[in-house]
Amino acid sequence: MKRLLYIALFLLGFDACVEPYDFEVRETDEVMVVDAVLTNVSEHHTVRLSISYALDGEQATNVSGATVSVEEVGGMQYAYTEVEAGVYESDLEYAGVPGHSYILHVELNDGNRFVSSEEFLPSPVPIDSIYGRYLEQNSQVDESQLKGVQFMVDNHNNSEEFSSYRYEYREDYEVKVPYPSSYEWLAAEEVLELRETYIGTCYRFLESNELIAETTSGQVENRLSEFPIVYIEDNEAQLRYTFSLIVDQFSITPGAYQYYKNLKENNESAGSFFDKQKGTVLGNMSHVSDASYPILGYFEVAGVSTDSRVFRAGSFRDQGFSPIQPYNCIYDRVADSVAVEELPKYSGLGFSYEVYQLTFPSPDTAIIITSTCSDCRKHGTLDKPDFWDQ
Amino acid sequence: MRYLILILFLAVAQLGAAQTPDSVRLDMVLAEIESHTDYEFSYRSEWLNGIYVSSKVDYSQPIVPQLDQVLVNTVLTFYIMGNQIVLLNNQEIVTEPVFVQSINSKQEVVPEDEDVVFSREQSGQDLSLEETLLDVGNRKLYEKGKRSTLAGYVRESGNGTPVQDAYVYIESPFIGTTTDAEGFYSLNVPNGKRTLLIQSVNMKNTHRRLMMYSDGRLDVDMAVDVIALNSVVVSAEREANTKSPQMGLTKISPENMKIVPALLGEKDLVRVATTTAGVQFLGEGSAGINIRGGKADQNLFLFDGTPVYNTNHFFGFFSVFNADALSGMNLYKSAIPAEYGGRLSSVFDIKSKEPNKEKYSGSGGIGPVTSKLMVEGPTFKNGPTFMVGGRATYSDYVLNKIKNSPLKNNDVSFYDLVGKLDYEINDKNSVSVSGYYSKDRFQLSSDTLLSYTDFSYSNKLLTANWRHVFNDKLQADFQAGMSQYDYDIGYDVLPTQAFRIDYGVKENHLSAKFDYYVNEKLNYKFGMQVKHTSVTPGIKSPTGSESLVDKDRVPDEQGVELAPYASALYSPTDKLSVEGGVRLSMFAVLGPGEVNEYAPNQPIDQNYVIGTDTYGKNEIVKTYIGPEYRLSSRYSLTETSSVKASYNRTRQNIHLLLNSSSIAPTDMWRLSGPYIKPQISDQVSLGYYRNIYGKHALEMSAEVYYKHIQNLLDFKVGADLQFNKHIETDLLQGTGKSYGIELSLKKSSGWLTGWINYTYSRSLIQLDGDFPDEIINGGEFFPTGYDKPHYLNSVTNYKFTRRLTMTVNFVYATGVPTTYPTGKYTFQGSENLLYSDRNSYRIPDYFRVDLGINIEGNHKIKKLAHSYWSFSVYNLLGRDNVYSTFFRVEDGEVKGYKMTVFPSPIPTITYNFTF
Repeated sequence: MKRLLYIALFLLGFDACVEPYDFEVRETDEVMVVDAVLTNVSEHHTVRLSISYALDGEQATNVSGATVSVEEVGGMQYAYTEVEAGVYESDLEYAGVPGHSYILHVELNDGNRFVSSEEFLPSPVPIDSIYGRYLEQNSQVDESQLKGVQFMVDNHNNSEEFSSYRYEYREDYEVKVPYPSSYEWLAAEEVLELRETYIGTCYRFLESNELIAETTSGQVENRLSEFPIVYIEDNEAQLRYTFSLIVDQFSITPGAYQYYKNLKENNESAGSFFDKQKGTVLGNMSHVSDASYPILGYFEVAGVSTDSRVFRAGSFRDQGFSPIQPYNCIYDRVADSVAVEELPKYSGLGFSYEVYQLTFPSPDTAIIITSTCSDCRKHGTLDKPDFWDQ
Repeated sequence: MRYLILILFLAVAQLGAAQTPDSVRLDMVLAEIESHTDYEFSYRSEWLNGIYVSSKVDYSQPIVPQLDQVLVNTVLTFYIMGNQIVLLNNQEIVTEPVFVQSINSKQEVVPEDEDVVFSREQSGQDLSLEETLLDVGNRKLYEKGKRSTLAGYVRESGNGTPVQDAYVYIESPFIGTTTDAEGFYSLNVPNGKRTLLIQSVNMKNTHRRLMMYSDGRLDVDMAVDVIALNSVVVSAEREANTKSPQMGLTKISPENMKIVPALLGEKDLVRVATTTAGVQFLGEGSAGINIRGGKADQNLFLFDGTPVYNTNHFFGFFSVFNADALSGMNLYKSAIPAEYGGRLSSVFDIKSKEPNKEKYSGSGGIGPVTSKLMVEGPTFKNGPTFMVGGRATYSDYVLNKIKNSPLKNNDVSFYDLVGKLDYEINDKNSVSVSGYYSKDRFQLSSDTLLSYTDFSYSNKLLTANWRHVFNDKLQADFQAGMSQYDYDIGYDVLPTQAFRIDYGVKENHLSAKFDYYVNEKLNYKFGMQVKHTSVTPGIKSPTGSESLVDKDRVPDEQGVELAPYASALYSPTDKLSVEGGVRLSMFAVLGPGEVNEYAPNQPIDQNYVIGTDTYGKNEIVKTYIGPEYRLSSRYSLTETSSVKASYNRTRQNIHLLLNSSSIAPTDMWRLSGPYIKPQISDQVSLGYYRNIYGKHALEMSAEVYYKHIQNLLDFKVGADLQFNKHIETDLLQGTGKSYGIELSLKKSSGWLTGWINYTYSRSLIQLDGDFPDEIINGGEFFPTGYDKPHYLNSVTNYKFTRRLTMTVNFVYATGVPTTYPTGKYTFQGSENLLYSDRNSYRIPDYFRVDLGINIEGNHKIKKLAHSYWSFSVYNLLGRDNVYSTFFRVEDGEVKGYKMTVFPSPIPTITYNFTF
């Protein structure tokens, strides 16, 4: 709708403006938040309890000392133990069973007791495929045109009328430096040593920090086709070299889907003329005796399925996509040369600078490069995702 | 004997007027006065041609009393404003109504002993209509000393348009009245020779010499006072402030529209209404108008009696009504007459223009965004008359001119058409048919936020009215009307999800309205309205071959409302006037339909459906019956002040599902049903009204009101209203209350005119359900999204010359309530917002000044076309009024933003013409 507004105003020849707005709030309510997921995967499941905090606050306060358990309706009661502040882990490794229902119980040390509604565990649905496609689209922020690859998933589920999903993803990708350091400066011994490990290629990952939820309710067929998971622009680092995407697909209940949808709308206000009424979104937790006692969060019970796919560098070149390489490692700007005997006096060596090469044929001068351009560990780790070579 | 004296007097007067040796030309006398004093004279030179006066002016004495003496034998009169003396040719400027003068004058009014005139008195030929003695009634029934009723219509000569609020009176003894909306008046006049005077805004004053024999009829045609556009005239409507029992009525005429500076050059009736007391709008781009703390969907917009469901083009930047095709609007805020019903807060009764009966004429305007044209005239002699008008935007054209823009594939347009046929068959019968069509269309290349990419909407209205006059006392209007509002939205960014949704609401009504005039003291109105409304809440269908979307529909709704009404206006004495009425609203929801039954003592939620009741076609699903009482009264404290009190109850059976404070074109009207109860409002109001007459006439009023609303509609957080098959699961209904005081001061005469209003008002709602998501703000009363406690607005119009006027418009309002995030919390790796209680914060206050300048062409009556230029600057001070604030979580951080629609002044030029 914001675009529509812009068009309206553009037509009229005037600019509406959206500017940062400083606002002050009188007080911050402290409300407990339940963040709990139970899946059909056999593991130690966790429940996190925290307290909401101020807008400019750094970190949530954890709620310790609670008694937490998950009850399988007509079955076991699984006890949870606090393993670190505010994080409660099931004592047993266990798996939720599709078709069964579960209830979360939380009792605080002040005696307040909370309970979730009865949550049914939907069957996991396999992901059919993960793929990417080059796509140009309008920026939501300004009027520019974005170029990038949209990664999507397909699935189908013929056994139910409709399904609701939540997605999490992890992007693993290679990071390379153009002038990998071949020698390591051992400052204590004032010795230059040939490196055993190649530090030109590292690995980095990003995890989704947004809520992605979708439902097939209202469709002719219970399948998702070309459902967008993540869009990677050409100026981002992920697609320069090898890239992989791991997608976790949680089959969730319709109630959970509605909760995520509301939460997302509340967090992503567009500032249009027709913004919906804002308010705190209530989940499926409630106080056992006081209905008006505020509590946030959701006890999600889901059937999870995971899939991943590796994309080699240049996978989307045929479609017209080419990643933009950064211009911050121009040799003339980042390189320096120092006589080897002067190296002990070179401040920052081994931290901010690394020895790239020695001169050839007489190795009396060291070529020194800023470490961000010579040591990939400044950007990632050397641990390669294990599934890449399979 | 009396006649002899009169003749002698006239003879002397004639002698005095004759040129005598010591007389000089008047223009020279005036020039001499100007040279000796600070006074300046304004006049037309032709008036002074051949006029000679005595030149004796003593400059050591005040000039003004001597001026009377100078002009005594001429037809000229004068009017003083500061140092300026305006001469008038045979025209009296009345700065206070005659009846006030008659009260003020100590002189005892002695009933004269008139005799029946003899026909020879009329023997003089070539007398103008004003000088002709007209016989009224039957000479044989003449009874000296008795009174007879004189009644008739006052119309505009040329096109026969009724002149409303014309002041009709005789001076001695003073008896006066004003004409009603049809131009009708009635007076109880002593028999004998009388002079009837008629005055009205923008009309030339006129009079008729009468010989009253018995009850009779006299129709009067008034000529438009072309010279005196907006001139110093006594506004008869001013009387309505203190004299009419009606409270909370605002009349907007096309003249008002010209005065108030227009946004983007578009004169707008509804926008003008927002410059009057108690009418608030949320800000630029907001379609909704809030009246006395009422919600935006509680206003009934009638176009020639038929409701209009969407009154906005382009998100409320323009109203759908083409101002040139309208004759005016009555806005009722309280004491809504019994003949109106269906919405809680107000009635905007908008009437189309009466076509010109005499000749073809028209008007038009060329503005920066839209242009418009209206043509009217007769079809053949004594046959029907017609009026057609149209308006369109050039935005399509503008968009297509822009290359290489992300907007290039977008397409936005709107237009509207209005037409009317009017046929006065005879004295007793007249029929009219009017139609209206509007269309808005938007096509966007992508919009992920909106989740739809194109939409269009249209209004279609058709009304036929037959007015029948049974006799002098009883007349009736029989009306049939149809109104249809449709929209469709479409989405096609993801081919597999491409769909369109069609929505529609259609209303047909039949009504009979009778007006029975018993006598001056008693007037009945009664009638009946039958209304059938059907709603198609949504048909969703896939578009394109790849779409996976299933064709689906939310079941249609239909309802019938029967509403008989009756009211009586009774004025036992001049001091007291009471109007009481009742309207019985009988609403039935009809099948076919399926109604879910929910478990008792459980939330109304899909999980608690215990059964479904199925109803057949036209089977009654649910009925809601209730009376709506309407009462208003006026008591005159003095001739120029009065108090009024009113109470009214209104019921509303069709509701706009609004989840934001502003109306969106995609909001849906839904009918009352098993789970949506009718909204019911009770309003009491009390007012004090006073007019001050003097050199400048002022009208003052103060009204207080208190309103209580049952079943005010609201929604749960995150409610999805579009394509919702079980709307009751997201719905909340609570108690609303609003109260306030409206103070208003208006000056309608002189070179400086205008009004200023201050309103203090509150609008609160309580949502206290049985389950957590049905309780908002702890179940306490909290401000609605349109609660604006302080609202100050004024319009000041200054006339430099007859052709050049300047207007300054000023609005100040408290910022509307909003909901702020007050904290955040971590959930599944994302940062989420924790919001304050609903509407517990406010956006910054709103303040805006507009400037308008109208330059008219000359006012020669014979000129082919009259025209004027309007220059306006909207938001002259360039203040960036915040329309809304919003918040986003960006990379785990909460960012606040404010949106301003028009942060800088917007100048526009419009050329308007009439021919």
